[in-house]
Amino acid sequence: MGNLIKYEFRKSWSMKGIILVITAIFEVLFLIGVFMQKETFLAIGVTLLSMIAVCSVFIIGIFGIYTLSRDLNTKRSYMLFMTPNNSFKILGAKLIENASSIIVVSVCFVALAIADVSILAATYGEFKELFQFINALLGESYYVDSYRFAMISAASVVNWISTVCLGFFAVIICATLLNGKKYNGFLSFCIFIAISICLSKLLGVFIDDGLDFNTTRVIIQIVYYAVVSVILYVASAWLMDNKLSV
Amino acid sequence: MLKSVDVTKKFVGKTAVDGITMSLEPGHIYAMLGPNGSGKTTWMKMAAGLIKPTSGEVLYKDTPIGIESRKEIAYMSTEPYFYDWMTVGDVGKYYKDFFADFSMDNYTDMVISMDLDMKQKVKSLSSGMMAKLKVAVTMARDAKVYMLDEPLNGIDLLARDEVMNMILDAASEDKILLISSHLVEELESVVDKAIFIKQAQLVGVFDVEGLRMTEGVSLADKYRQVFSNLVLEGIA
Repeated sequence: MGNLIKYEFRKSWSMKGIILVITAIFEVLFLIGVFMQKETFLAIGVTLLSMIAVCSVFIIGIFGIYTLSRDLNTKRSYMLFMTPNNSFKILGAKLIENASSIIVVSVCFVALAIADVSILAATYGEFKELFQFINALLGESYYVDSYRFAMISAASVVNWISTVCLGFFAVIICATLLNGKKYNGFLSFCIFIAISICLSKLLGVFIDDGLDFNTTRVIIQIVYYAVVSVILYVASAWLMDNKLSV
Repeated sequence: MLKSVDVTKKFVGKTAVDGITMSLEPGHIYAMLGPNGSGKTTWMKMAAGLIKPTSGEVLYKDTPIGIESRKEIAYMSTEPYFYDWMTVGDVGKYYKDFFADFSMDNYTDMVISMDLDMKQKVKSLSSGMMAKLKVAVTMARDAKVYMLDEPLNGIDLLARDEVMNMILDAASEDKILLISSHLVEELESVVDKAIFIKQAQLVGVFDVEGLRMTEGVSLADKYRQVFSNLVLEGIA
């Protein structure tokens, strides 16, 4: 399985390289703004860094789904399905590559955010007080600290990984059960949306939908989406093993 | 060793393979012959485990085609299938990573003899060079079954000789070689069995020498007899 994972990383490294270069450019803008006291650069840098942080995690997930689609629907599928690996390994390698990339990129952006906030706080003394002021305004239920930030980030990442698994599942349904049928792409997208809504409703059975921070609720969310990911992975790999013709 | 038991494959609105039953034994080189769309490629893909039959089954050593059979069956598709980012060298490394029977030394020798460059990107290869690369990487495996789908397509005359030599080098008493091609005359001197497929159905498996001895026809003549309405002198 190690070799499969290695080649999955190889397929996505140019896209990750592009994200890295763009992030570096935005970071330079931010640092110019901080150290040369150019507030326009600072504002643009912060805005673009926030955008790329969110977008990159989405892009990696969507790129993973796109790569799977290409691997199932073009002749390069032979590169995977000629090898003596079953679908659980092939899909597992894709999932491990994608999930670990999402986690690593998220951690890197969090680390970069902490570093940039520290630089801001060191440069502009009043910056720390600004955060404290905002938190005081938000109150006990909604204030943000490192613990809450980490928990919400973890839940978001697990949620996004489960969405990627659902994307994999939809692509595999398109290539198996709906293969050769009219509008199979559109139908599989509808299936994706329908399952997504059902999963969200089902989560509502276990937790309320309050906006305030609650550790138990976040943990239930993480466990729920982790279980959903595993179920979708098993169902997808079973479909590939039993119904897929490439 | 490789059996097809009443194998049928239906696509939407079309039956690509219709109830093919046959058995391929080691020690033979088989030609799989038939016009375009007769079902040769689909049958090969089922034997390679890439396509699942609608009904029937393909057995390798009496076991349905699956992960284990892929370790011993080397299949070369007629279409290019390598990743765009790969170089000729990367293709060899990829096969080395996944197939225990792959020899990098043999691959390197074949690449050199076919005038390919290890550093060249596969997406920049001409169709002829791509065809040579596919043959080289497939034949560098020490497989028990080789299935080559149109290996001579797009290859010039001299390179064809090299490809045929490679194929002959791989032949042995414990191996099955199956080659599909439209170039019947090219295969005639190499194969000893011929599988004729017409309109998704098996016409028959013929012994090439037997055709000459009993029917007095060459493989090419038999091909014309089976697939063409044209009546040739001495055959009708």
